[in-house]
Amino acid sequence: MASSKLALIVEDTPQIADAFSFVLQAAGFETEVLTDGVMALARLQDSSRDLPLIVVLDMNLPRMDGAEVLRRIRADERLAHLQVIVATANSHMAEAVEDQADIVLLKPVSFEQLRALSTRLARPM
Amino acid sequence: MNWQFVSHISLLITATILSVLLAAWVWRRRSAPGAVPFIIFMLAAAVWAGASVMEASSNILADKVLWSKVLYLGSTTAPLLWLAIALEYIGQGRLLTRRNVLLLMIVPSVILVTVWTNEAHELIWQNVTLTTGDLYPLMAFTRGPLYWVNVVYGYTLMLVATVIMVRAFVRAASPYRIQAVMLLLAAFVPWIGNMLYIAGLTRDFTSVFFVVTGFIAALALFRYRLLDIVPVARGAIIASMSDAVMVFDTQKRLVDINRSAETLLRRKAGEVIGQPAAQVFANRAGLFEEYQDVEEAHTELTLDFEESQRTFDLRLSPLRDLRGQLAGRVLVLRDISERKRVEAALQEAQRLAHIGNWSNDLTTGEWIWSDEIYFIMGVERQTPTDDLVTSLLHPDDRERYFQEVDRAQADHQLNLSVESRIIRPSDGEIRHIQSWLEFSYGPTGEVLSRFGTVQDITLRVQAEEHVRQQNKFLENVLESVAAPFYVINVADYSVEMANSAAQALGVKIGAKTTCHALTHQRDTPCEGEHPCPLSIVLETRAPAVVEHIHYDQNGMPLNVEVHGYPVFDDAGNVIQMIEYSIDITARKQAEDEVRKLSRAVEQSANSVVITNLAGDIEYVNPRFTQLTGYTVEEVMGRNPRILKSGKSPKEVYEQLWATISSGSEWRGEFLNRKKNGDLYWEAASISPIKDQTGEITHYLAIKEDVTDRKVVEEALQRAYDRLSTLVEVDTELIVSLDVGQVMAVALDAAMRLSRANAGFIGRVDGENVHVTQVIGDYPPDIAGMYIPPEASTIMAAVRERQAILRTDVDNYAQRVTVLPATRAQMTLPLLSHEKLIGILNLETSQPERFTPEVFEFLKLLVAHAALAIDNAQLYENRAALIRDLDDFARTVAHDLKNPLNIVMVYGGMLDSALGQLSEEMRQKAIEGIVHGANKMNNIIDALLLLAGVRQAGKVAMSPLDMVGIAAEVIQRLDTMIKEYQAEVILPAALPAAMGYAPWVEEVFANYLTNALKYGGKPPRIELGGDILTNGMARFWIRDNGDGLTPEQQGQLFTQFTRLHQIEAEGHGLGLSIVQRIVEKLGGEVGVNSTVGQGSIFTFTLPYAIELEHS
Repeated sequence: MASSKLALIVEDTPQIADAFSFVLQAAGFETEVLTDGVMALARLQDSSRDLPLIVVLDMNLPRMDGAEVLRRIRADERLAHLQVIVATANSHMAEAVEDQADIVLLKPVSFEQLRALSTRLARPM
Repeated sequence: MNWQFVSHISLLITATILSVLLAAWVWRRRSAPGAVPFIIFMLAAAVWAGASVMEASSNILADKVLWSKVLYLGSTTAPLLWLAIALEYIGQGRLLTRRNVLLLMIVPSVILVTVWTNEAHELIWQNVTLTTGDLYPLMAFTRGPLYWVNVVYGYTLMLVATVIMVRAFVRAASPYRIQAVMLLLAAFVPWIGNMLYIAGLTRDFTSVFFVVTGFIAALALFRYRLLDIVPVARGAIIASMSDAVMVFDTQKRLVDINRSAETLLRRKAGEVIGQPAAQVFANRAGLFEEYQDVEEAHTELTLDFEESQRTFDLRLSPLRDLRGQLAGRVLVLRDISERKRVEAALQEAQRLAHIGNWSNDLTTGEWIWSDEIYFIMGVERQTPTDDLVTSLLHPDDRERYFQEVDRAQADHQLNLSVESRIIRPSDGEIRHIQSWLEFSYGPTGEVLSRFGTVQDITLRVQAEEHVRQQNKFLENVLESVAAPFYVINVADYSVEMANSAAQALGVKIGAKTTCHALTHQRDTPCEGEHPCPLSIVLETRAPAVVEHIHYDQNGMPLNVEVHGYPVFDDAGNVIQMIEYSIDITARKQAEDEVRKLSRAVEQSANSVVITNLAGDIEYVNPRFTQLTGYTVEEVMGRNPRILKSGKSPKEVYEQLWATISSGSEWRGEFLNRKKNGDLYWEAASISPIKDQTGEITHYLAIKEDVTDRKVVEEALQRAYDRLSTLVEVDTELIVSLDVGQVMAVALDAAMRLSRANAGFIGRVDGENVHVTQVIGDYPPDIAGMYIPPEASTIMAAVRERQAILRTDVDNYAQRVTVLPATRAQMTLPLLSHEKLIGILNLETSQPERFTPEVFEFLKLLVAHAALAIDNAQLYENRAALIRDLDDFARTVAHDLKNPLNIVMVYGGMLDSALGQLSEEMRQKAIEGIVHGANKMNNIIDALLLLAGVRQAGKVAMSPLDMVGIAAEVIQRLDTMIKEYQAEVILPAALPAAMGYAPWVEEVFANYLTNALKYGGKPPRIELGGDILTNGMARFWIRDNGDGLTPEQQGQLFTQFTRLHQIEAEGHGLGLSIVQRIVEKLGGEVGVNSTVGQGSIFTFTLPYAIELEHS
């Protein structure tokens, strides 16, 4: 597995993506940001690249929405075990993906909440 | 005198006496052929012999000469007479004509004259002297020349006669042989005597020998009936007989033939005599072959001739000479064709008449039956006997039969007719026989023979028996008639025969009771009011019926019908009249009753129809004809179904027949049709008419015309039905707020009311009609389809917003209806508050169903339905709006959450970890917070805008500079465009449009934002505009994104509820705002997209023409 703690952030709002990156980097993660679902899925399925330790997945994404990306992650044997944190402003959506996501964050998410989660996730398991 | 003389004289005397006796004896049979010459011959012999006696006894020469002269009377005639006898014997008596006899008599006459005058010339005797003889003195003389003439002539005649006799002897057949021998003997006797005399051995006993000849001849005559039977005439008979006789010698040569044979052979005797039989029968070879070596035969044979076939009795007999040697054969063919034919005809006649004839010889007991008797009696052919006759007779009839026969015979009746029965052995059947007997009685009155006929009269007897039984039967019939029945004598009105019923009235047969006295107690025949049936019958010669009032024995009057029937004699005169009277008192009363009822029926205000069991009309009253327009003749024998309009349900008739044929009365109403085609209603009471036994014989219908009532009733019923339907529909329509259900209810009601075959309700979308509800015969896939523009009626209704009723769809060359079988169509627009929300279309294959009345009513229904649909639509819209607002609020909340999230995260970051942040990071956090705040502000602005749009009653529209507005929006989104590295192409000019600038700016902004976000990577966005024909300007924004499916397109603007489900949060608020703005400005939004080829979002606004000019 990856020696570094890599977090993949899939978020089309740059400000949100920046905030997530900042918090996760502060918790010791390396971060990588992608702005749509298709790109994110392609990055994950690219076997030449290391898998991230966690994936922060927005639901409202261009080209392929987050729910579809999550479904495909869980359907892919290599990716199925990935720890996926769903962030959505839509409470309906949050309920819909609850089973498949490891953690669901209902927007708006506070910085403190985000930092606590990041710290917890960064701890060795 | 010595004994010699005595014996000599005695012999002569005896001869003389014998001759006289023989002559006398033959005299008694003088009718026999040859009798006359024989008598004369014997008398001549007697004269001869007698004269000899006298001559011998005389001693005086003169006496002797005298007696010698007398003697010559006999001796000269005897040979001549003998010749005559011989000729008669052989049947050639016809040669003895007066002339021949006279010629033969010349010589004897000359001799006799000469003898008696001998003294003068001595030509007989010369030198006559008396000499002494040995017994008595003799007359001596010298024989003169004529003496010898006499002798020669006499011998010649004798010789001829003898030759004839010899020939007859030679030819004589055996039955005649003795005759022939005797005659031959008789012929030779005189010769012998003469020869003895000439030889000088005896005296001249010629006369004696002649007597002997006569005696022998008489013997033959007496004993063998010489003169009675045929041989004498045999030759002549053979020659003249009808049988064909042919004689053949031993060499089979034809030696003799008679005339019949000539005819048969069709040859002359001269031609065939001497020919061989084979030649004679050249054309009858078979006959010749069969009989050529047969001596004796007797058979019947049939020969074919050109003209006919004839049957012959063939007899072949041998001819033998004196020594019994075969000398030849005689063939006799007797034509028995006629006899056969007669026999056959007789047999046929007997067979046809069933008459047989019989004879019974009582002396021998022999019976002879004809063929038919065997047939009648049913017995095999046999020899009938008395016992057979007895056994055939029916045992019950035997005694009577024989009694009658015995009585007839005892009474010496000549004939008798007896009827009796026989039992036919062949089949045991009893037959009736009529026997006719004739009796033949002997001299002492004994019955010698009987003969007669029998006839089978069974058929006649049976016929008679049948007639008798028939008569008996008729008598019984007459007797069984309860009505008086009698026969009246035409002459005096007297009753000649009467049955018991008539006798009960007082008829006494034979008492000359007259009919008028019997039934009317009057002394004169009936007349006037009571016409006499007899006088009518006499006049018309035909049966007559009159009505009388008769009086019974108690004097009670009776209404009677008197029937008279003429009886004619053979000449055609009416001799009797059969009369019978029937008591019709009850009938009369019934008739009166019927007459009253009939009048009631005839004058009834109700129609009355009576039919037989088959339903054929037997009576209708005047009201019926007046009502229906049919004449009595037209309906008589017809079935009342001619009145059927076809509008009364079949079940009514079924129930009707079930009721009345079970014997009950049926009441009900029909819609019937008059002759002129008018419909009318009648209330009918139909009941069976039964006879005394309860059998249904007729059906009676009493019918009242209730058309007027029915018309009102029907109108009321229809109005009621419709109103109740309307109420019902209204109720349902009001209750339901579901558009689909409201449509279904309305459509169902319309179908029921119009009885259409098919119907649909369609929504109207601009020019298009979109089928939403279907009922009836339409194909199922029509639901959801758009009605093609060719459906002209529907399109016309949509265009003109007018209900259209077409009962003439056939007049359209093009198919204008949906169903091919449609004959009438109704299309009604659904208008609510003058807004066309849809159409109702109904079609039927029965043109008359869509009456104007139905049409009008449907209009009413449709108006209600349109309101209900509109209401339901409004309700649905309202509900949708509420749902939309819900979703809208949620969408807005979501949209706010993103920027808020940014603010919260950066704010928290700055707050908690300001010291750890790099300058760059801080800067970024602050920018993010500002951006988020701006974003939120924008959303709230949009909300306010939308609220403004909603609340704005009427915005102030003005011509807009669309290029300017678009350019401003692009400027506003500059940051985002740069961020997406997008290329936005704005044309130099766009059509001017009427609108409200801030709102139109928002429309552009939304479309552009969407295009940037969902367009291609990088987005290439093109703006444009054009002018539509309907006075609108259209603007479009084309992107190079993935495009949208038709489903997604359909949901973009209208269905807010679904927005979150397709994850189009960004579109959601934006597009809903766009739609509301554009619609508020009088335009429409649209999208045209193909997956993979980008999308074109459009909106229209009224085209601002003024601006073009400015």
